[in-house]
Amino acid sequence: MDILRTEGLTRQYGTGQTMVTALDHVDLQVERGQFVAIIGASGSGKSTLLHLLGGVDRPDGGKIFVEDVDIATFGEELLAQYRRRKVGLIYQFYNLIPTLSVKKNICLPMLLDNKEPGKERFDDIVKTLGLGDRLEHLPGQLSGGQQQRAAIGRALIYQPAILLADEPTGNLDRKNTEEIISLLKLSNRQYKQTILLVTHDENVALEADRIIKIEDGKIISDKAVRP
Amino acid sequence: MNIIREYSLDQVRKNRRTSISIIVAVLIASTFLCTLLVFAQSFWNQMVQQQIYTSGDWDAELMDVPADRLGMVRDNAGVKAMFVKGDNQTAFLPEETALPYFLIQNCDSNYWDAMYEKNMILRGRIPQAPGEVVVSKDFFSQNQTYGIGDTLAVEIDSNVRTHMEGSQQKDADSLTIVGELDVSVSSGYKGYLAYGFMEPDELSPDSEVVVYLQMERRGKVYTAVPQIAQAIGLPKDEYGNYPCRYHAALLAWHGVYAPGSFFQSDVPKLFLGLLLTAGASMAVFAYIIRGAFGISAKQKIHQLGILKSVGAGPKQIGRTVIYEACILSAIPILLSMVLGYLFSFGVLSAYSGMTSEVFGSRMEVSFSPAAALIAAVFSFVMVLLAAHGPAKQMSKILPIEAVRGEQYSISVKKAKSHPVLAKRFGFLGEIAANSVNAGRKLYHTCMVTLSLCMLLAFGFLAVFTASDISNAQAENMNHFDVNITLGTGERIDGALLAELKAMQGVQGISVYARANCAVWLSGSDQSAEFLQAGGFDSADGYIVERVGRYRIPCVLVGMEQDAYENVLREAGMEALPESSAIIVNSVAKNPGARDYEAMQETVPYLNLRQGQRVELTEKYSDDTQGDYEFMVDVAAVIPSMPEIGLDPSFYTLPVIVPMEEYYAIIGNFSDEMEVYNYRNYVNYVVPDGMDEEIQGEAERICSAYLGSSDFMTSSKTERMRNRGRMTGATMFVVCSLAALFGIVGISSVLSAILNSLGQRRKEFAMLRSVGVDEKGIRRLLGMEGFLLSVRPILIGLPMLIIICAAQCYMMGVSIVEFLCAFPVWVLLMYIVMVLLVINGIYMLASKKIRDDVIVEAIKDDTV
Repeated sequence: MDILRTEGLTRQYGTGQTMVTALDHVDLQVERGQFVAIIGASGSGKSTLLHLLGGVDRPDGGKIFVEDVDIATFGEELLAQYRRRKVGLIYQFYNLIPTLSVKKNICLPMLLDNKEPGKERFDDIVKTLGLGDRLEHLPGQLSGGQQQRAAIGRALIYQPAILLADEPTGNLDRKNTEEIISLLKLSNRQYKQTILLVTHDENVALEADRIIKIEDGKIISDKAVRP
Repeated sequence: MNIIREYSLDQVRKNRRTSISIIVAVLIASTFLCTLLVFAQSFWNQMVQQQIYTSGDWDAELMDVPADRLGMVRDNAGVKAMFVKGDNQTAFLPEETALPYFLIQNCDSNYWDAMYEKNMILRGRIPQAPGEVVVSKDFFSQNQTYGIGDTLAVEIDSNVRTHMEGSQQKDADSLTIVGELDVSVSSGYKGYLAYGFMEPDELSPDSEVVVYLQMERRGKVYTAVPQIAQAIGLPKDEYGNYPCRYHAALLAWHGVYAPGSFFQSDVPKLFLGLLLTAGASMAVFAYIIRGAFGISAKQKIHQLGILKSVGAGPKQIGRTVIYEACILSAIPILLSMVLGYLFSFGVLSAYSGMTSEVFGSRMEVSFSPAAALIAAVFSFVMVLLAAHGPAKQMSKILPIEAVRGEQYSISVKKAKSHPVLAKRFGFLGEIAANSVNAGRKLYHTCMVTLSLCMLLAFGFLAVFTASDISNAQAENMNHFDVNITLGTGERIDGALLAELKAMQGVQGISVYARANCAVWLSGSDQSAEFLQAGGFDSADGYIVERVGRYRIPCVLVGMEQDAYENVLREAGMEALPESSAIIVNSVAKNPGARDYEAMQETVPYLNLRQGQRVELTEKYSDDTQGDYEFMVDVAAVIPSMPEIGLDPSFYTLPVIVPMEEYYAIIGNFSDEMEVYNYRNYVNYVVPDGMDEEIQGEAERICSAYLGSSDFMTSSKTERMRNRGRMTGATMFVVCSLAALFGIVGISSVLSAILNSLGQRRKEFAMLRSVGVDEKGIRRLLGMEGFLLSVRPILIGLPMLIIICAAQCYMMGVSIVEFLCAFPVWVLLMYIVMVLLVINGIYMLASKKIRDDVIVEAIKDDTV
């Protein structure tokens, strides 16, 4: 059963002679619980696809169905709610709020809803991420790997159905890369979350169930790595 | 704490530089608004106090109230306080006095407390018991053996107006003089004015008094007082009105107007002017502070993008800016109350010091808690207005664009070529010009602020300069050097006029009185020339048309008999046996002309001939209460107004009659108009440099006959000096306010420059990494500073020139005259100061750039 589907998804930047088509009528289906890697050269449109699926960018054409609802038609408030509750977005450069503690950064999507996470779930996530002794620290006081783990914790806190990771290991060393990928796989298995991972690293991509290759804004190959 | 509030508070703490810049902008803007309100309240208070000082603190006056009804008035629920004057008496003085009577008006203690007569006491004190009186100054000057504290044996008669007949019974009594009053009455009364003391409860029941009321609810005065008059049984007059009068001038300052008079009063216009000024100031400052909030919002746009990408809604993003506004404005708004008061105190004290000789009094600085609250509310609304724009902008931005920070990064889409800079300064010149161009949006607010500051200060200076030149031109056209106005509410003492006419050293003199009136004519009465120039129909607003008849405004001018006859003789005529009048039959051909010469061109006004009989009416406007009509026979029709110092306004027909004729006519006018029209105007032509001396002598003569409030003198030199003082004082206030604008402008320039250089750390590090040395960086920044500082001048200067040109055009002043009078050097000083300040800020702010470690700055720090 598809959790996510796009139809003719198009995104263009600039106008006139400087116009660039980042995504060109992309059709894509992703089943619930799948771990999908999206690969492609720089500027191929893979991050743009992820941002459109995460509701942080708006398409110029086409539809994005998430659980059979077209999020491209959402207004600002509904889209914000979608970002808070339905998807977790992980960036290459962590993007934590530097003035808030690690704990508050992790809880941010729930706090924006004026909610507190359940203690059991919060402790479970923190234990999994290995951030138990860093919760009151500010992001600037953590290493790159720890910051990325905090960002993953933030993406997981609302138990969203979909996790979108945009080059989450692009700024990390090998050891931290392996740890982060393990965490994502664990999350995929343990919480049955659908994961879309954008990466340059073929080794990282091989950890996924399915690999989609994008070039010039179009899907040029879509292979299942494992059933 | 709500996460958005917590985030906002953290941001305020972390971004100290931006926070301080916002705080400074809010502080100065709130101080400005607070200052405006202190000015307004002080002015209002001054007007109210002046009104109370000159005419007393009362709301309404009931006349002819029988003493036995005073209790009913006092006990009325709508009456807050009641003062009584009346029980007038004539005291027959001992035989050795120059004049035989004291004309006494008795007042109760409340009256003495609340009314203005106590302010006219020159020496001594107010009467505090029956038998004590204060008397007019002429008593002491004419009877020098008497002094304050003396007790006089007198005979008392109970009515001032009937003493001549001697029909009343006289009672022997004694009066103690306790003070000297700065008042007088006409010598026709053959007595001295005096004020005594009375206890209302001791009045005989049949005596009638005048009652002054202060109302519990001032706003109801116009309905409550007639009801009181009806309740105590006062009769109505022939117009159907009760014998009551209102203190309209004071009531207007309290926002209370007679039905239908709201739009005629100046107070609502002043209030509207204040509201518009406050609104415009709020809008301007909101715009300025908006720039500071914009810079702050842009600084944290990356974080706002993160917040958005993890699910913060547009309202929550907007609220981060609004919370920041609330946090940053609380303390400066409170502080601005103190600063605003201190600033106003300083400015108003200085202003008052400069103008006290012109106005004759000093302005007290007032600031009530209510005004403080209004200032705080205005300031807070202004801050919210300022924050609203950036809040809305931030809430709309796409999360991914904000995360990348690409929307507001300084970038040049299309580089312009700058051949002059490139040739003189090489590629650094081009970089500087392109950087300033790229940061246009960022510097927009400070450029506008500095331009506004320049326009405000020098625009006003231009207005004053043009107005001063125009006034000087008008003064030069004034034939007379010294002008005296005499107004006692009754016919001016002949002895006083005689003494003024006999003034030594005077080269020319005119004495006249004037009263407004009107004549109703038909269209056929207008001259062919006037008809050709537009006729009655072109004088809309001046001439009223009713069923084919036109009401022409007239001014009835009374001239002394000899002067009147001279005018007649010059016209080749003789006075007619009946009420004889000279008509000045000319009207401006082009009243709307801007050019002075064209405006002075006249044509014959009406088809009036010698011997024609003209019927005039006192009712010159629909609001005039009296409707007395009178006839004059046209003895002569002359083409221009004799040089007496009277310049009738457009479409007004001067009708000149001998003074006795004039008095006979206005004697039949309604009471109020009769009293007003007894005014006499005396004008002198004097040798150069003598005007102030003659003015002083005229004042001395007038003082001997009149109370100081009954006459007014002015001279060319005095007027010129006062104009200079007023211009200087007003410019002082305007420049003080402009300085506040300037401080906000400089603060926003500082913030914008710091923000811009902060964003471009990497760019400078890159330049240094390819070999640009410290001197080169300094040169680059110096050029940027210069290009930035000339912008507000390049924006402001043309606008200022437009303002100056418009002023010259409107005032009919030539450019050469204007340039000779306008202080160009002050403008040049301002320009140099702006250049120095902006370049100074640039140099100081660039120190960090020059001290940066290249490799650290060159790293991507947008993570």
